[in-house]
Amino acid sequence: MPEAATSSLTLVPVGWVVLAGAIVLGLAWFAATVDGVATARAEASPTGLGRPLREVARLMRQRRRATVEADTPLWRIGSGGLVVIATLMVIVVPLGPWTVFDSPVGVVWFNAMDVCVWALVWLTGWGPNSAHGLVGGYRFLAHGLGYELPLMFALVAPPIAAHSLRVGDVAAAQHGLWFVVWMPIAFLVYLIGVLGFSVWGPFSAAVGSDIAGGVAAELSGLDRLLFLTGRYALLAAGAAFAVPMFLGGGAGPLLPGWLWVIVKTIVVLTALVLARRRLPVLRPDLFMEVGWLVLLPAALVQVLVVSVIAVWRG
Amino acid sequence: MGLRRRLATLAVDATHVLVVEAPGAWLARVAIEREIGRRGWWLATSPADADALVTVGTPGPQLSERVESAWGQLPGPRSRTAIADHTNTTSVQTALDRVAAELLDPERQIRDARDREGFTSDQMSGDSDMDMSPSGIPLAEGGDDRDGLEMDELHVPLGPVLPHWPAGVVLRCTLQGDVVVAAEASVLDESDCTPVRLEPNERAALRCDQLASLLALSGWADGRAAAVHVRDALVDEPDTAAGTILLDELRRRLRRARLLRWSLRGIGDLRAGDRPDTPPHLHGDVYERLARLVDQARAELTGDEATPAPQASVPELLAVAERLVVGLDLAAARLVVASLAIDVATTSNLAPHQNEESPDA
Repeated sequence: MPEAATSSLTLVPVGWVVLAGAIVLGLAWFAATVDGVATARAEASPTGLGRPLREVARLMRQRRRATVEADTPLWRIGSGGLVVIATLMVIVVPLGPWTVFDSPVGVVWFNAMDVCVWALVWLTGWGPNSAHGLVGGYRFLAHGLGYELPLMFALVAPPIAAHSLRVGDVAAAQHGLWFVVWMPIAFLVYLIGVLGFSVWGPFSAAVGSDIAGGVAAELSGLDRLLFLTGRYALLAAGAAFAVPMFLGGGAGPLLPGWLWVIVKTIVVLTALVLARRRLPVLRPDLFMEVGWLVLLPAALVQVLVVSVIAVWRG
Repeated sequence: MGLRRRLATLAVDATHVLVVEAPGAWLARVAIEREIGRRGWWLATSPADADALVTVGTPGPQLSERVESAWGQLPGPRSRTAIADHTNTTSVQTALDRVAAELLDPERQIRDARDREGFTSDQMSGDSDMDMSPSGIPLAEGGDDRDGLEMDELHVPLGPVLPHWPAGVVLRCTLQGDVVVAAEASVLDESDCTPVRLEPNERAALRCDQLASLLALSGWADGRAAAVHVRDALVDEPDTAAGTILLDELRRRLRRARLLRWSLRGIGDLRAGDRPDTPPHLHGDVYERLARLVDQARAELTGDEATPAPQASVPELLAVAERLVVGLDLAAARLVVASLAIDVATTSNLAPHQNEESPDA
């Protein structure tokens, strides 16, 4: 990468990607715990904090299933790939002064990764040769058609203001004023997109209990564990990417930069997780209208405003 | 050994239970759901998600067949138990304790795994690859969809082993994509259905249970939890005043839920104008029927005669369901079925006009 020299960040050796993966899994664990506690509180059952541990033990002990005429390789790629994609998303997020992958087009990279989720969720539904899974896959694609374009335009706004697609530059451009303050619509649309590609809460129609778990209907054991972990990991990756894009990156008083990144990620992640129980599912056909008639124009107006300000400031 | 045992103990603390309800056993199902919640266990969404299968009530031959087929799909380690109709808390507890003990017993699980019929590669492949029915599954036939394009048709039965689905009912759907193009409803083991008499507080609780199913299908977890909370309070407490307060609170909470209203408005709209022969309490869309469920619960509880006790017979309800779901996607179809509050065991005997087409002998 010839332009790497222009970045203010320290590029660490690629082996550190393992640490990035570990952080993603840690955050996924945290997200599952938050959800477990919220569920235990709402349903007056006792075991909130330990839920992720028990669930992991259960799924590691459970046997894998096969279905008749399953497309097994594609099925396994779908359920197992989400964690990988989540890790590939966070490697462009600078952890304070360090980054694993200082791509000059880091924002585009993140966007490309979130589009991969389309394929993976669809394959998880397609693979087992089950009607419920297939319907779940359709639902995810319908949601995707609604959230993806607004999400892309929401991701365009910060790079325009920062004059760079490099994630480190976007974070550095927010000295004094975080982008969330003057591009709140882009931030909101971005968070909706994160819920969308994580198949979470209002966007969980693809795994709804009305179709017996949808794309996850036939998953058991390790495959199910990977799929569920992948959803939490995607939420975590989405929350982490919001930090350099909208929340000033590692900027903050007293604490070191890397710690600020993690603290801010945890705050965003907690809010995203808690949204699940509070909201009904947005039915894909209804959300399609919202996506195209409300979110997309709103994101475009946001981009226009940001562009005008960016040109005016020179 | 120690580690494996410890892992198993942890795992069993998160057992996922697939509950299958025979008509008329909903009180037993409520008892089992509460015990599952008390232990921090989960209700399974599908056989693949389940470690244990619990049958409540006495299933007839047709339902038993479906239960067997679901049992064969549990991945294992697995355990099953049955709970008869009128149960007290201790019998539910012992049943689930037995489930936990079976799941923890390695010898038993190994034996079970060995005895299971696997799908061998001989059965699966052979020369059937170029066949019209790979592994015995016929290829989908095409049909014109709503835009006049040819599209594959899948035949998918909804129920009886499906979360938040009325017990004993099956809706055989023809799907194009996720759109229902034809549907045929029936009741399993129809002649075996024994009508159940319920106390006023139990009838109100039944309405809350149906409301909870509807809210679960809408995806609003906190709303469902609130309805379940009121349901459980009504089952425990025959006191009318306390129950009324809870129902009013629930009603207010539902009215404040704007996103819920927006997502349920306009689905399965039934107007008196189109079909004057349908019972008036079914008129409106899913959201109106949802609001009416709370009012009905309140009327059942207070014995308010001013509100006409609205009852439609099961065949009437099924006919309405068949008609309304055509042209809807699966999510909307399920919301419509839930909003009709079909209960095979309590609705049929209370029907005021069970004259024309009820097929029971």
